[in-house]
Amino acid sequence: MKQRTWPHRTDNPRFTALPFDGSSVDDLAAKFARRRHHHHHQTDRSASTSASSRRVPKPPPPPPPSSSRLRSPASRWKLAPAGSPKPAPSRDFAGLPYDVLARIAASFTQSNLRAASLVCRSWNEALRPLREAMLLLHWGKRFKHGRGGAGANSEKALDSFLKGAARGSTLAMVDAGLMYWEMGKKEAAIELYRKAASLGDPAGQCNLGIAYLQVEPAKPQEAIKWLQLASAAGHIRAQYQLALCLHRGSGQDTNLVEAARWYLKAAEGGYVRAMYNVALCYSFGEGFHRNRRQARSWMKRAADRGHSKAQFEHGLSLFSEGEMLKAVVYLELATRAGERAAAHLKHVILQQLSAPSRDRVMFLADNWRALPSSR
Amino acid sequence: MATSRKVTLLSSDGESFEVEQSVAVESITIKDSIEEGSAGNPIPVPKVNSKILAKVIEYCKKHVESAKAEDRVDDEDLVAWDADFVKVDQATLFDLIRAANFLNIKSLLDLTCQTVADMIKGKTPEEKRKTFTIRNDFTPEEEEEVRRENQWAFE
Repeated sequence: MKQRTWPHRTDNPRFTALPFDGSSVDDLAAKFARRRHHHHHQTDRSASTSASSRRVPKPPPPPPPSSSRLRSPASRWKLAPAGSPKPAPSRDFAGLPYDVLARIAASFTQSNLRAASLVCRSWNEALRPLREAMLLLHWGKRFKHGRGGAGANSEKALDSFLKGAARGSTLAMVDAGLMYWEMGKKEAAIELYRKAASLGDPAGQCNLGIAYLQVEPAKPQEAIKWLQLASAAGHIRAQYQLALCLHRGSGQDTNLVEAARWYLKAAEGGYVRAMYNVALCYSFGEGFHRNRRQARSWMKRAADRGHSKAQFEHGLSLFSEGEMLKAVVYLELATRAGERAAAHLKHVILQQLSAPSRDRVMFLADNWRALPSSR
Repeated sequence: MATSRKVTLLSSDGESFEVEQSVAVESITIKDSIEEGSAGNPIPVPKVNSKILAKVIEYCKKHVESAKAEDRVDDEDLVAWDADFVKVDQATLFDLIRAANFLNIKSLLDLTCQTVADMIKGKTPEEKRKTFTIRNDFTPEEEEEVRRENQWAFE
């Protein structure tokens, strides 16, 4: 008996291939059985004799005061009424079905999950598989990056992520999908991204959108649809990607105004390439009205965060304003980052500087550090 | 053929709602029972009272209509409409979730779950309890146990 009644189970038959580990589900069923047996121990809170299969080796907790609330997840939905009257208020969010709670918390981070688990007993129980998933996710990451003295192990990493995904964590789904993608198994990656995306995970939606752009043949309509969802949810990279799509057209009519708007959103969110593009939009009047001041401001922000082309452009601006020293620092940075066009101008200006000034420039360039960004 | 056919849904408190079949089958549960031929007419919808059923039907109607339009502009309008749709009191939200779950209407379930998720995120457990008026039924020992659970694994 599968407890999960996710509505979209019927249109995702391919998901049966994933190692859906029903063990935690069986634990749950076993716990229900045990709780019902110990109903008569209700009043005895100090000395609990009920055995518990909890991992922590402390004296097990007493059974819950009322098991009527717990009955609701156990009765499976059929069209015929289940008929279990609840003495507690019927709109009790503590009584949300377990699979609904699991779906709600599917994309929660560790900290949110822990806080939710501490709300009440039934939520704690409902979210147990997800907490297990978090653990698997954590181990998966360690395997992937080879921490704790062990070398990187992709196989184990993927295995952990898939187990986490099977327990319903969208974070694990996305990480598993990413590994598949990196291995070249694009179909499998897309399946996982899709699952995460449909559970409302913005990273899943973003990755799905990008995947649809990169597959052969590309599916720009689908891509844009998912990128829009992720962008609306505030996912910065998705906003940038969406702007790119709208800017380039990719099968849709180009929409420069929308593109510029999303570049700006992503730029405000700290995405460096978006800052550069925003500067260009303002500079050329694409999507925005021409605005030299804004263009310059955004170009500087991108330059200060390490965007090499922006460093070149900003160096040029400074040069044209007569700020030789500052200009040449940026040009030096751009040159070091590989912008050949910057090198030529840099040499020209350096000739005109005194030796101490040249030293100062090199000193500044050597000690320059990029400002933080959200990449 | 089937698009202009109407079906009648009967709420748990005995009210009838006539809807297009295309709207009714947004609910996989109803769709399955119609296809299996076990539905009968009117189709009883136990557990869902008239107030909630009316809202669910409103939701399904709107989404079926939007799917026909297929305009990107409508998409944004639909998102805004959805956002307004879930601006309801908690009791109604709760009922909508259960109805969506029971009737197996994926998009409505997604919407309502997302709404609750957003209400939950970022709050401390006590704040979460306050938001949903949930009683803390942990004993102090249990609570401590839950807090410490898995801590050892994250060193």
